[in-house]
Amino acid sequence: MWSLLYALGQTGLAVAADAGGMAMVLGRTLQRLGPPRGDSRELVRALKRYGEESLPIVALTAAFTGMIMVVQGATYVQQYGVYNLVGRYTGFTTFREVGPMLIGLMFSGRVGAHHTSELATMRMTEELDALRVLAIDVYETLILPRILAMVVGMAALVVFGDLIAIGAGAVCARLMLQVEYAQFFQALLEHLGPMDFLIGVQKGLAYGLVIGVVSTHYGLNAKGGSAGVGRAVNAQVVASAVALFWVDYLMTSVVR
Amino acid sequence: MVPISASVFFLRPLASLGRWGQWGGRQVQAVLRLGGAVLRNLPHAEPAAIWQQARDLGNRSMFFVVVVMAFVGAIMVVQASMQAQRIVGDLSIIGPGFMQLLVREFAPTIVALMIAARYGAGVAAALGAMQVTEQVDALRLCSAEPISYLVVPRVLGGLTSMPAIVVVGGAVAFVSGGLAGHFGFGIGWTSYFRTGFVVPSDVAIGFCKAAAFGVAVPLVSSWAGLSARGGARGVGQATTRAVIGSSVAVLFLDLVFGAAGYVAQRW
Repeated sequence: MWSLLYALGQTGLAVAADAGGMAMVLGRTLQRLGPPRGDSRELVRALKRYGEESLPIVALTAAFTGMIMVVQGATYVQQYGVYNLVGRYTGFTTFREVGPMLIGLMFSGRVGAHHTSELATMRMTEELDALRVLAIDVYETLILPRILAMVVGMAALVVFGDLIAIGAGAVCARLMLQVEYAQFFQALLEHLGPMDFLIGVQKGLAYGLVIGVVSTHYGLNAKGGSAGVGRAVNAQVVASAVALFWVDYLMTSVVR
Repeated sequence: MVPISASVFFLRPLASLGRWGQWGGRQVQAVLRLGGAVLRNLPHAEPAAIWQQARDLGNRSMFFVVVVMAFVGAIMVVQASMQAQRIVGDLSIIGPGFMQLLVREFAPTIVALMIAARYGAGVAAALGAMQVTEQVDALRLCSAEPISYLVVPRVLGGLTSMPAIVVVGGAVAFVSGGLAGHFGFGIGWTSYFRTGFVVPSDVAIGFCKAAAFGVAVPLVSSWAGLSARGGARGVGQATTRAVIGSSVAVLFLDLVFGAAGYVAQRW
């Protein structure tokens, strides 16, 4: 009984410490924004490495997402004969919820993990301390450009991913349910407005910021050799997933 | 002769698509080869090691899975209720419909994605650290087969405890969805907590998915860990590959089982 209470308290303290650390990272990053002080070359590099090079994996994920949405609804569509709604529900679920979320999870697994392990390695090898000795601000040279790149890159990837998911969903609906492409896209355009698409993009922006802040926090606070790098990456992926679902919940219940 | 512009705009993307395809094919081949080795080494599995891994995957992910699935349940019920209010105005089928979707689709898939993030990354970090410090080669020197010692318990442990944690996650999501529906949209308790829509084939599909994910996530993560090369950086890369690889495997298997279930239900 007491040990359970003790464990709960320990967990609570750890969660509070991590939340505080992330708030510090966010604050320090925002502080560098006015007036903007960041390395623009690092920004371009990060945009290419985090955004462009994530495109294959995001395209693959998005294609699966679109097809899974159609497959899941197929039973109901056949049961009720609502072939004219396939485009509508596929677009709605993909644009608003599932597309940004799955792309965000992949992004945190690839980009967030990379950022964390790089910062953690720099901390282990005392590169971060060396930078401080040289009076180089690691937030200006590394963190702000990369978090910006994550925000922009994530939103752009959501736009690309949504289009790919819808394309794959249309092909899947044609093959499985014999829904013509014209009917699929007509249902999509008739029932969905630009807001449905933009809410997803807005979520992409928020998820990019969340992943950037979480991965920076765990990278800067890694401890204990090369096993510590692995632990930091692991903790980052877990915390990002919880934070993404939490932000998703907030945005869903606020933007309705 | 092909004009320059055509080669730039058409052939180059095609070439890189082909390269990605070849690369992906090689990775899949390596994972399947590891799977074959696991099958050959199945008789040598130690029950104690399997339970250890099952505990690692299931019990120690419990807090994480419960938190995430609570959010998932609330998000989905809020979204579905908004849609239902706009179209039909009838919120009584939200509960049973959500239950069916959870059993068939969302509980196995989202829990498996979370396990891929927590357990898969941990497996890759542990095995990757062993690989780059040559502990795996040391095992081989002691004539202990690394695959039966390291990979088989993880795969069997995953097969054991993934279905269990999927059930827990699904239950949490259903309850939290019920709370969100009751306090956000005034759905009555008795009209929400019904399981009438779920038919045996839904349970069968959900269970098959959970079992398949339980094998796939440890297998892909072990492969990522064992193929780590080159110091701390290599361990970090292995973790990334484990999370991405097992998530893609989960989505792919989800699609395959979903389509198979649809075809099976039609006949």
